[in-house]
Amino acid sequence: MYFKLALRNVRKSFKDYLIYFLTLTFSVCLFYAFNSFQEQQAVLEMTTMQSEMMDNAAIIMLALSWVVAVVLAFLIIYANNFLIKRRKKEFGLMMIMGMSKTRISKILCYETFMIGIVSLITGLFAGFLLSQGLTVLTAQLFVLPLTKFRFIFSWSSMLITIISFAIIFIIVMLFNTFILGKYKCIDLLNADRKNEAFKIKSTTLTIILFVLACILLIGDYLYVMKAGINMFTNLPAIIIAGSLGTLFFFMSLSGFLLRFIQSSKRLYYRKLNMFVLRQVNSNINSNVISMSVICIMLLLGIGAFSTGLSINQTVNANINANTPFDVTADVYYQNMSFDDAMAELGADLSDIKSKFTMDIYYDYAGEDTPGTTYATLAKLVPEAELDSVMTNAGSMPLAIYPLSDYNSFLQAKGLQTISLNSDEAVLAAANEQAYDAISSVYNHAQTIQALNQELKLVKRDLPITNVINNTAITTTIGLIVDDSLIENNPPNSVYMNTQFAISHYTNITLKDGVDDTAFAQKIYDAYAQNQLDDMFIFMDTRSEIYASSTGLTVTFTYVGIYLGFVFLLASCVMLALQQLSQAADNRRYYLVLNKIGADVRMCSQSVNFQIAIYFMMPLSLAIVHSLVGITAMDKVIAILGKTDRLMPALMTSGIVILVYGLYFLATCSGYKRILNQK
Amino acid sequence: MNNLVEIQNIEKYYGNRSNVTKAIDNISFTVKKGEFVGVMGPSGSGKTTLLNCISTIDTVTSGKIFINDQDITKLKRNGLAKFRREELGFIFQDFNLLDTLTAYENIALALTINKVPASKIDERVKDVASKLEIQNELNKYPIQMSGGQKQRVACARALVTNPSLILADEPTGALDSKSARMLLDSMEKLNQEFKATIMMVTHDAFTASYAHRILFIKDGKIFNEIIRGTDSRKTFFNKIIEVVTLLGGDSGNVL
Repeated sequence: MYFKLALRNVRKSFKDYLIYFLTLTFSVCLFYAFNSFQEQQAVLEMTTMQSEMMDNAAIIMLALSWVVAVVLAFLIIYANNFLIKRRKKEFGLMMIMGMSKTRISKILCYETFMIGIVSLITGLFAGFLLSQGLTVLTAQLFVLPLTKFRFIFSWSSMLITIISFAIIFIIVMLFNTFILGKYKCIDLLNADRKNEAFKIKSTTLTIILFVLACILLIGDYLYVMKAGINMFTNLPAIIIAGSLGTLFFFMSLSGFLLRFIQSSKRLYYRKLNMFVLRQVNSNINSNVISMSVICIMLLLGIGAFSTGLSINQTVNANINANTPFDVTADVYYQNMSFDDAMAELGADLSDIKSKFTMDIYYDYAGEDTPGTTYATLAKLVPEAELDSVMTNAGSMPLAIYPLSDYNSFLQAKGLQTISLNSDEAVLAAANEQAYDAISSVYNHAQTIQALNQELKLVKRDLPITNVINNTAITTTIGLIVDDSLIENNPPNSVYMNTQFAISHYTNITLKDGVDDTAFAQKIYDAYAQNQLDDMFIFMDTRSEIYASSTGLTVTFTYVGIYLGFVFLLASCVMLALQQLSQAADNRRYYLVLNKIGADVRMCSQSVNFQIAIYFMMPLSLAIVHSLVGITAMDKVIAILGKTDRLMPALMTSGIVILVYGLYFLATCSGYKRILNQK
Repeated sequence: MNNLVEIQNIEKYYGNRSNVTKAIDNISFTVKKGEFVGVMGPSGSGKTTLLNCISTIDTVTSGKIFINDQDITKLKRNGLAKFRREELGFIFQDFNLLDTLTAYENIALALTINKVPASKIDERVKDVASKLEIQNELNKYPIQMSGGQKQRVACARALVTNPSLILADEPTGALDSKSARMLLDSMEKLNQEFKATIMMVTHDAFTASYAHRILFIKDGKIFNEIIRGTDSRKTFFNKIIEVVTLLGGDSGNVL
């Protein structure tokens, strides 16, 4: 019988349940789709390396799902709480008719169970569809053909989803029972008559809070913008200052906004403006904490989207410049050359079309010697023009290329060689960001202190590219000097932990049609067979760098989209629920307005206006936060190369506008539906 | 004096074909400019329905209602809102002030809805506030005021637009006797000094005794009509009690 009653309740209040149901379905859908990530390999023809990347990404996604599950659990409890509040009077009636609290909570549990089952099924189905879309996306990111496409269903992901949501639903049931136990019958019956406590804040307090908020936020912004990668060491402080600033901002904002608009009588005393502003004011005042939470979640969402997408752009843009040759080999064996070491191994080098040696020197800063480092470059540029490439790298040494080797490189690339005097030096950049950095060095300095002497900086027309296959920062900026300079300062050891180190790289171009992975594997096999003591072989093949770059891209893109959606969804749902829960209370206000002559259009405009302000408040601050955060993150990502800000920004704003807009419209229409109820 | 309100044979039916309730059953009467009319009747007699029809919140099934020679039963939705804000002022039993607005703003809201320019608002609000002696309450929020003060703010809101007709639905229903008397004194003053036309629905004989003329309604029909004329309020009050007793309502409804 209780089951029937519960079923009828759900059916009857379906429209009330709609936003709860949608939230659940979305959550299940996202959760399933992103956990079924690994199964995509079934239809994608991936190389072993790509599969490994996918596995790694899947592990990260699974770990992330714990965080997401916690966020979703809070969101679902919040939405559930909203429903319970709306139905207080109904529970009061049940109690007065003699139903015990245990029975009422039993009915509630049945209801939660039913809603849970239905939303799980629809959510899994939606997630199943979404995961097919994600497969297409992965195929694009890895540049794979989708010839074998078929629908795949991930049982393991379904299991994870069902278990996680079952736990969430059990928490919701316990929560409902607890909440219901706390209520008194009289309060339930009078629920719709009770006014929310109305607080009036003093002006002085508002001003103090506002000033505090500004100091905290602006200070935080300045620090984050300036610190670059160093901000991670002070992350807790940054987060605490930012959150407090946000909280104070919302505590004082509504009062400030109100005073500000009140100062323009023409604006304030126009149609229903006065009413709307007062409404928003009291809404924000009673939701300060959740407003701040929403704002920070939006920041996380926007940040996740744009960082995920911009890493994608950055990596893809730099991948060609970072793989100038088929293979770059780095072999250490008793000071032997590459050829001799290979002969010693008995490796088959017949696949090589051409190769040349590229020596790179590093002049580390020591206790007595200044070294030739990124900091050396940074000193040449005025502080305002300091680029993150230089500040992030700090005491890292610059790559020093002997002129003869650099000319071999130019020849291998089919370019004109350059010439230098023995007291001259040229800067070379591996990507656009580094190119901007060296341009500003050229603009401000004529000489550079390197290899313990003063060298004249001269300009040559050089390609913007790495000289070896490398994605690390070690060769982002290079200094080309005459060979004689290096001969005068011989490196004291071949090992890296000394002050002047050398690495002998061999850049290899293979014959047409030879697979670089197979070539590298043959050498590794020979190495494994011979077991030569003290021999180290490092090889960076083009395919490997491509695969790991796309692996990085895929992981970041997915993490970005996943987190971005979850946080965006959570903020939208919270905003929508807050507005809708007030709609019932505000209904009587709108009835009064209608009676004293405000027509339907005026009321409808005022509803839209009210919800729009309420939705825009946290978004505007979140956008300012994100702009600062994204700029700071860009500086960090800049290590990987110049970031393209426009595309990720456009895509992020597109997604935010879409999701936010949909929830805004849904809230407006839901609000009006509640107002128009008889 | 010409007629401000003229009601001709209005009827209001509720329900469907098989079960019709006649809330108003062929009522006709007129209200002159500057009159203070009371409408009395037991619960369910149709007095609130009558007020709702006149205030255009509800529509009549048949018949015509003229206010200022305009047939309001012919007005469309937006015309109705315009009519309401320009011609009518409302006073409700439970005040219906907006909690988030100060008293001043509650009064000003009636003007802003009427699109009165911002520059004129201050003068008009202060003017009406002094008539109702609530100048010191203007910066308070409804939650900071007593019931009587709230109802006088509501009165000011109804009056500030200079409506042709003020409709009051049980204005003293939620007030204690002292506040009720103060409010009624104010209403009497509005009627006598400022020539406001007031139509008031009540089932309280004391409240009704402030009116000039009282219409008694029972089962949707006009049952009786008494006019105060030159009687003192006490005599008029006794007359009202007589009719109420006659109406079948017991004296429980009386003060």
